Amino acid sequence: MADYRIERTAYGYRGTFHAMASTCEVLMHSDDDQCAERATHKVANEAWRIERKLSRYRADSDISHINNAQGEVVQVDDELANLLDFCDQGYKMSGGLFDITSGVLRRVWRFDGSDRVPQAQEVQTLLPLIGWHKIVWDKPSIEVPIGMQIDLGGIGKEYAVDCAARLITQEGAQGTLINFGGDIYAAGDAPAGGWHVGIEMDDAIVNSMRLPQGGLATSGDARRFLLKDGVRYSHILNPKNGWPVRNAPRSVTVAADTCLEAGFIASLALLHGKNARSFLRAQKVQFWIA
Amino acid sequence: MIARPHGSIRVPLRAACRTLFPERYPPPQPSAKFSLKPLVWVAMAVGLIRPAAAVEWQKDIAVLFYDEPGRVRAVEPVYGLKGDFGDDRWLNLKIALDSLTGASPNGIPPAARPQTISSASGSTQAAAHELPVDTNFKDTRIAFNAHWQQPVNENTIAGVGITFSTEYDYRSTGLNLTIDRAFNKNNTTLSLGVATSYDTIFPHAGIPRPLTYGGGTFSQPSPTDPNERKVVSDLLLSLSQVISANILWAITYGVTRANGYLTDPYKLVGVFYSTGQPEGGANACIGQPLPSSFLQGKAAGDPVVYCYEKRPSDRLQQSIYTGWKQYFTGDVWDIAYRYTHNDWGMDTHMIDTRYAWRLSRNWFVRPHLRYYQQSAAHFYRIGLAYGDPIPHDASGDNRLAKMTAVTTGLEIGQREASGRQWHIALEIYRQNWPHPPGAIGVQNNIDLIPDLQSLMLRFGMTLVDKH
Amino acid sequence: MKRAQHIIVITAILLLQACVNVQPWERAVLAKKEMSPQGDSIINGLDDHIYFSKEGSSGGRSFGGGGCGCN
Repeated sequence: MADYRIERTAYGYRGTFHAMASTCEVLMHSDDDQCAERATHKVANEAWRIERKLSRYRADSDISHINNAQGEVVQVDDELANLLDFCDQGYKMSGGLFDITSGVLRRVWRFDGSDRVPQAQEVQTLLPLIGWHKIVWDKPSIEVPIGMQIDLGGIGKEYAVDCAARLITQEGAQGTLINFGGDIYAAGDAPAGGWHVGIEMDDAIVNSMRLPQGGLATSGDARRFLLKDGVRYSHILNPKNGWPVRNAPRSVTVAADTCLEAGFIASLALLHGKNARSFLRAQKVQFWIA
Repeated sequence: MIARPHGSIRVPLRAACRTLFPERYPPPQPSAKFSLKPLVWVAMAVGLIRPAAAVEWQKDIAVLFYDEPGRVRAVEPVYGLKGDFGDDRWLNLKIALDSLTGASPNGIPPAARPQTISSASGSTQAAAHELPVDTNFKDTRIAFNAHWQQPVNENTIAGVGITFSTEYDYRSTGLNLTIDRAFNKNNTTLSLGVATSYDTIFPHAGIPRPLTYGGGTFSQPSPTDPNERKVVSDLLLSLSQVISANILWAITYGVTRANGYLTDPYKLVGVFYSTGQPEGGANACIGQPLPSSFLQGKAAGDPVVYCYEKRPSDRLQQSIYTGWKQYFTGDVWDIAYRYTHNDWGMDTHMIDTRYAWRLSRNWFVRPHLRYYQQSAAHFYRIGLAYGDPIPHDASGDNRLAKMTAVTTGLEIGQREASGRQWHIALEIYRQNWPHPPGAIGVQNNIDLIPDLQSLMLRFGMTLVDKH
Repeated sequence: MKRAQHIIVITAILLLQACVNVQPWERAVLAKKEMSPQGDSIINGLDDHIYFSKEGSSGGRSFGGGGCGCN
């Protein structure tokens, strides 16, 4: 897994590797192959580092450590403390729609394109295990009640993109675009006219834009949904009732100063369902809806 | 900060992102959110602090109501502000107001016959067997503290603080310095603190002439001085130790030296008739023979005259304070013991314990028990015996007498994950004095220092302001 | 008196250095606000002020206060 490839492209170099269940790429507007190698190396290591730390699938991650503490208090390091503070603020500013404890709903909701919609009763029994306000977050200590769990999957990839971008900016790299499965940050001097970014859905480009610099994130349910009795259930679950949000756009793309900010707005927009567009307008950001 | 359905989260979201990636969000325009900004600017100007991207403020508000039935009543609101400037740099500011009204004992014990006592505070009447009190006791005090601390190297934190308080007849200005050094993977902290305060006292009638009878009537003697001063210096050496992942232990050795005017200018000491004394000799408080009419019909232990008290001008106190704090799955128990010894001859022991019992995720109750005992100062007198030579120092202040005190209290509170919390406590404070030595004649049939029970109600809340 | 205290303190440090080894990541509980060694400074300030004005000794835990005409 700990492997990356570098290839020459028309505009410079392209480094690729796999992390966080996505194909990740580093596009460099540069002729310096050593520089490209170094940048890819740094970005990949940063992505793997954050994956090791935040992945709920890894038994040795900080997140698993917290989730497996059986109701005991766990102290977290500065980086995770700042992230949890972010989640705490996110929960409050979203009125509870952004909630990192909602992951337990995956026990009954599996978005595999099938028609297996859970019983209302199954969803109902999980609701007591959801709600960030039930977590005792006393920075830097966290106490997760037994049965509950936290999951930073909703912001982890975006956060990793920003961290990697910070690293290579500090290195003074030339124009570089970091793309972790659709979560993007463009740092340094872009090629003339900016990076050309296309948003793909069902193997078709549904939107394309020019990104000179900054973060870009897309949230949507391209391949993750359930279909039953002609009703399409999106994978965006409302943590307050445990059910998919209805009438949400299929995809929202947002540009902002960081990938994290863009991703947060994009996923929150989907949670606003049919009101996604008015929510996005109120945020005064550049956005694309499909 | 709950979002409206389609409300903008732009400002809080960008602030939250700024904490993680400050370089991507240039600082916002300064806003006048805190009226304390000028103070922060001053601290920046003198180079104490760097401009901080985001200061996290914790605000504490507390009010104490104190009531001694029939006597003193006090209300003390406090406002505290604690700024986290990051990197272990903290600014602590506190302002307290203390408003006292009611009656306070003046140092004269009850007598077998009615007493009329004239002093600078006015004339006091007390029925037989009743404790004479200053009825017009009234004062308001404002106290202000500021403390800044920051690391000076990897393991050392230094702090500097100022204190200021002012009341109707008293003013105090102080400075303190602290240095904390961590050892042993931060499991051990050694701290050294020094503090000094310079106090001025200026009673409205001036500083009374102590242990002297004013002559003519029993009114107050003429003041000798409009004001007096004292200097109090502290030195603390403290060790705090992590014993296990759940236990903390600390021990502090302290020396306090007070020098200057340590007398209470409002407190009196009585002269009581004692048989077998040379009549008309050189008498305590009097300095010259009294007319025989003063002594007519007096039994041993009856009051003759009253004069102002006098204490030594120097006091050295040493103390040992040790505390133990232990965590039991949500509950916190702490217990502390303090021993003090001073060269006024007082030895005191204090033991204090609280158990914070977590009722639910947010609620806790905390019973509190405190026991205190002290021996008497060597110059404490229930009264002077008529005809005895004038002592160098003498005070009838029952705070210097042999005493035990017990506090029992219960606190209940709620604590949220965000750090916001409130709590309310009710405490009963009982002071008991044994019958004092040196009582004369009829005094032995009187409860010379009545026990006292006071009630304290304390409310507090903490707010955390995160940017 | 003073000399004896110093010896106690120094011995205590030596003993504790030898036996205590709580690692930084084991300090989650100790990092809690209610485990702060100073306790709640606002409450302590109020209590100390009351006892300062009612008793013949004060201080010990922190600076002896004073700065009040009440004792």
